[in-house]
Amino acid sequence: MADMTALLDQAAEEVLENMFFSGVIGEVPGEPAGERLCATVAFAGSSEGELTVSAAASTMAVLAAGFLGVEENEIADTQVRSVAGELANVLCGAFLGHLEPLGNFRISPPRITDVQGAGAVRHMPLRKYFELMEGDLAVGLTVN
Amino acid sequence: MASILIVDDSSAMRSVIKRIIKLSGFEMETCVEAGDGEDALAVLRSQPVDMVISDINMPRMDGETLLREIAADQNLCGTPVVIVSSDATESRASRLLELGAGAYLVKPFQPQALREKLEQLMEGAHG
Repeated sequence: MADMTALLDQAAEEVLENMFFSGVIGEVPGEPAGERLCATVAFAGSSEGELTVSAAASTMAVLAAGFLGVEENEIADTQVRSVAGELANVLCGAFLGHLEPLGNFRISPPRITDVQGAGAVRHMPLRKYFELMEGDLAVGLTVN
Repeated sequence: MASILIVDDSSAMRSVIKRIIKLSGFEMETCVEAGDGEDALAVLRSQPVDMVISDINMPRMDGETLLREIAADQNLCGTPVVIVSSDATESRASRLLELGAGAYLVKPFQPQALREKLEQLMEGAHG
């Protein structure tokens, strides 16, 4: 059985460094609080499950600026939400590629919601609260 | 200098791919965009390009169908297609390469990796 926590760490580092020009600098102790933007993708195929990311809207806006290569004040809310969905999608693909390189998966279009605190990931069996330079990023994963 | 069609249902991802091409130093003359395979075919039939960069999962017509349509069209079948996807599984990559994709890149990827693929395909298409 693969060490899913290590695979998720590896996938997060790859995605954040290569596509968001950010990086993981540690883990946040305890659960995040406050209003957050959340993106969830479901996957099916060789394995089934869900991956959710959530961050404060301000953190997601900085990540979106890095992703799109523009200044934060040039980004519309709709773009921030779209980038949150891309983050969930790409992170899920990277994780699944490490988990089962020979697998066959379909990843659903992202579902974007506004949530409070860690509510969106608290129930998920695997949770990570990554500390980034831009703020914190919560990632929750369920693999059935 | 190459003209490139970027096909992805996410406008954010189209912007990022364009940005990565510029960051890579690849010489791009023009860049046109399409939101799915159907739009991409319409663009290709009215405005030939040197290369197509396409996502897989898109509404209406996905990247795999677009690849088949390009291969079946005698006016388009020489156009190199680079698939860019978050699907990192080898089985998917193998199938699309067998169907005629010139390259399969998994997101996230380094700008240099994209540049190398684009240059190889340009050389192949014009060599």
